[in-house]
Amino acid sequence: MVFSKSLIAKKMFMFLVLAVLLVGCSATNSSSGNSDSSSKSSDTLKVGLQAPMTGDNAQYGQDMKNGVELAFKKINKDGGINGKKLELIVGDDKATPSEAVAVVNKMIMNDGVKAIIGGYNSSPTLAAQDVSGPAKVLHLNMGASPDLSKTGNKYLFRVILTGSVYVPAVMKYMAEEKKVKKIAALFENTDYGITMYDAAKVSTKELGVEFIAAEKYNPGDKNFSAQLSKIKTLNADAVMVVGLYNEVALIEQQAKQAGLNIQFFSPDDSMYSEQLIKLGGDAVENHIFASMIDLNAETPEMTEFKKLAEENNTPAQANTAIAYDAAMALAKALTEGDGDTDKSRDALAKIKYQGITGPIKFDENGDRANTPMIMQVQKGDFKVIKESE
Amino acid sequence: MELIKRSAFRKSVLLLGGIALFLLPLGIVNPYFMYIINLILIYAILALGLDLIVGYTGQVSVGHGAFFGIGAYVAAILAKNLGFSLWLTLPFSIIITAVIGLIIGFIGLKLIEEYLVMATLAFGTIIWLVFLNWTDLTGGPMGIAGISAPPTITLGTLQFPFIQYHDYYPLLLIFVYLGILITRLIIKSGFGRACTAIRDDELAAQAMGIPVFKTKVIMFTISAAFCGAAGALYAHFLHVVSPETFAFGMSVTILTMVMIGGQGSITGAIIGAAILTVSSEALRETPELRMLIYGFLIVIMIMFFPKGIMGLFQISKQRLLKKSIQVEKNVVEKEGLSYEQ
Repeated sequence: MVFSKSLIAKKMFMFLVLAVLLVGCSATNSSSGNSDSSSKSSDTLKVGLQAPMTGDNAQYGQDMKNGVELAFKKINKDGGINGKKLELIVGDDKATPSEAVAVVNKMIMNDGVKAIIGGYNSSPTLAAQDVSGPAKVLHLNMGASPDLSKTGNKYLFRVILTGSVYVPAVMKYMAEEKKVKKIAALFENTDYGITMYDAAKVSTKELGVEFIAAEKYNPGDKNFSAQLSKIKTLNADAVMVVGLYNEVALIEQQAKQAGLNIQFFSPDDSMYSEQLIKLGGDAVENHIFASMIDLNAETPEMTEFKKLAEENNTPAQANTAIAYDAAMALAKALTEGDGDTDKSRDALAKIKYQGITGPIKFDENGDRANTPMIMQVQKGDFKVIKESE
Repeated sequence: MELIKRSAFRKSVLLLGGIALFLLPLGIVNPYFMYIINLILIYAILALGLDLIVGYTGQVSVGHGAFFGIGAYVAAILAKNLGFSLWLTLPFSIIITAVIGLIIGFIGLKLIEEYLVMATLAFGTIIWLVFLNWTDLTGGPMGIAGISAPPTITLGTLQFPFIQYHDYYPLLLIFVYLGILITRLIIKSGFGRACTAIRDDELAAQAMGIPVFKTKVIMFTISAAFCGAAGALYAHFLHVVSPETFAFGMSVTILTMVMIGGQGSITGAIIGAAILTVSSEALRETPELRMLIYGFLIVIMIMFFPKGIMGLFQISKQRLLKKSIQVEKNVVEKEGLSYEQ
């Protein structure tokens, strides 16, 4: 008797708890969601950052956060977006697709962000844009995958340059400025190396150049004499190396030792590291590659950015600069759109803005439409030999 | 007579409450809350499944995140490569995880206690590595994105498409009810009682003639099948699967849900799922501190409420019972006294 009574009491209590929970849910909903948007939305505009803040890629996420914060500080000091202050909501995507979906869900639905900057990695961005696209939220990402051009999501923009831009640009430079005809390719036997080589082959026809060798090596290899001696017998005009700087430095040292004095070049900015010069020394002199950013540039934009970074004790990293540019371009588009998502989107699609990373403009896929700058190792330093357009 | 009446009353209250829960989306405007509630429902199925083996059979597994993952990946691969809808991927997910559960159970359950934990841990890690490295099939670290939503359900003239998070809620709720129903049916059956006998004293159960190993393996298989179903629902709900979701952390999370809620209790499993999902979402604001606070909460729970929240209820219930017995005794004593006078 007593037993069944207490059972009922238990069940009743359960429903009570459930009811309280539900009321709590809807109460916080109306208080945090609605009142926020009514009281705060008049003077702030929320923008989300989807980036890895913990885990292996945390440093890149932190760099991006620094860049966006610098830009927001500057924009808010200059009066914000038509009088509204920008507020940053940081979401940790842990560089994983499922976390990215969760965090983007939260930022859009709970915080009511108008735009998202990030992510840093391709796969989380691909998953997250499935959520942000239907919600019509501008999404400015830094992913490298070619799939990000094929989503059909017109609110998705990419603020970095990828292999599909780097490769033709550097090939064009080599063909037109350096007058090379016969190129030997030497690339690491990975997805990255093969993709870059395939992309380079595509652009050979219209430039009137040809690949006369396609030599491969495995990441971690130390001896490249077999590949180099083969290249030497072929009498190539230049060698395209695709790989990481530690192997490239070794390759060029061994080429010098073998008496192979030839122009080396790489398609992308994986060479843009002090380590290349440190490891390669004189051997990497004259190495040519494409890059989207020159941290030593003396443009007014770079000077301003560096000054701002110094004032705020923020290290001026490449990713910080790219995120800063993304935030500045976004702010310009939001100002022009004046609260209307589609107007802001169109403004961003048509934007022409001179940033630290060169002119910012987008093609019909939402990818950056400017060409990269071409850089060369000269006297142990990186020099820009052709500006971006 | 009164007891029957009361139980009938209880049943109707439960039924009404159960139906009322379907109306929940009407009261919640914010889709983010709806998203979290849907996640809770998926985790509830997982916790119910793990509780079958942990709470009712007394065998600890730290590999159930892998079963969840297998269910999700099977659904994702079938949906992506063969264009299967949820109604086709779900049975496949359940069957395949059940078969793998059977194999793992057959091997692992010959071991006892800590060795079983080690075996399930190894199994979980192996499966996670398979997800991560079998790039052709699983997409490697990129995972599989763009998994289709469940097809629109048509009931006469009514149509239920799956677009918003609100739309998924009734479907997931039905699956949770199914999970509860199956769990109840199992634990009330002779088979279920055999399981509890094994939990309470394996040797005694064996002496009573219960086929201990066979019973354990069957329960382990059912438990894996629950996780498979949850995995398929998860894949079609989130539209993306990636390996790190199903790493060791997931297995621990499910186990913690069962521990915090209270082992061997349906309500406990659901409460555990709700608490862990909500707290991990609430701590999202502070990404750097999230894991720290989360870990701290778990330690506090395990240290001070080792039997979980439902354990707390039981303790207070026992106290109430004792009190009422005490009161009755007192009354009797008093009455006795009055007789004496």
